[in-house]
Amino acid sequence: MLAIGLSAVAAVALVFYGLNDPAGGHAPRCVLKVLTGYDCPGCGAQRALHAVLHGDFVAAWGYNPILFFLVPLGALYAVAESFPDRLPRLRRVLIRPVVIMLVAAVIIAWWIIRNL
Amino acid sequence: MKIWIYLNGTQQGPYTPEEITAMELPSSTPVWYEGLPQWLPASEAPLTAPLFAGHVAASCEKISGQEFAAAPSHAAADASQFREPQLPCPPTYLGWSIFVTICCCLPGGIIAIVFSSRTTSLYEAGRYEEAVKMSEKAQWAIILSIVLGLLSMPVAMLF
Repeated sequence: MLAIGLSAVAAVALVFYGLNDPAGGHAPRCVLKVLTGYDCPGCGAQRALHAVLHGDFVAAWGYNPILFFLVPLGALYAVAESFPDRLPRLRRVLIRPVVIMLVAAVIIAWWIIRNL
Repeated sequence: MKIWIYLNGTQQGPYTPEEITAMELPSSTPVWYEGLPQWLPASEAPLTAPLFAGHVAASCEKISGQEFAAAPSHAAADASQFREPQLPCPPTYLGWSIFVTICCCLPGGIIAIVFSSRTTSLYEAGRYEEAVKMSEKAQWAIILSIVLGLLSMPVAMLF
């Protein structure tokens, strides 16, 4: 499982490094954006990933700053839930309903703010 | 009254109190029934405690002095072991829910986050079975979101 995940990450990284301009016609597009014209909370993730892989963290922050918090947080959840015996305390804090709803609230708030 | 037990790593039941008695379980076996806030060792849950009190008392009388000295500490260790961690909470998959949300499968991602949080809410309320089902729902919401997201990408690129 871990090996599959890591190789998938590596493959995606390679593809995004190779894409010259994800904002152009070659990269996958978000249906929601095409249909409604609104940015979703994750919009800009492809351009940000492309920028980070080329070492341009400032541009990545400009595309979608919340990724800098959500990606590490998501990884933290994945680790804590994959090894519940090793990190019981961390897991107990992370999976509290209040904490989860807080994460959801931040994502939804960001979604609204960026479309104002 | 239906009683569920946690034995050999799996949840089993429901059983009637009579069946529980007949099974001659260790008194430390985690049990749960409707109305109990969380899983408890069988010897501590109000409904099953009497079944085990008689059993323990009966067996204690048979044990000789030497063996009896060792028994209580063993039982105490068993009980404290279960009081703190209980049954682990089923996975919430929140990491995946976040991943799905930011990867442009938004409606599915939000649904998955809601299922994730319901999983822990139910778990904390002691409704372990429902929490397990909710955990599975979260997993399916994530899988469905990823599949729909991948399918929709080529369509979106046509525009």
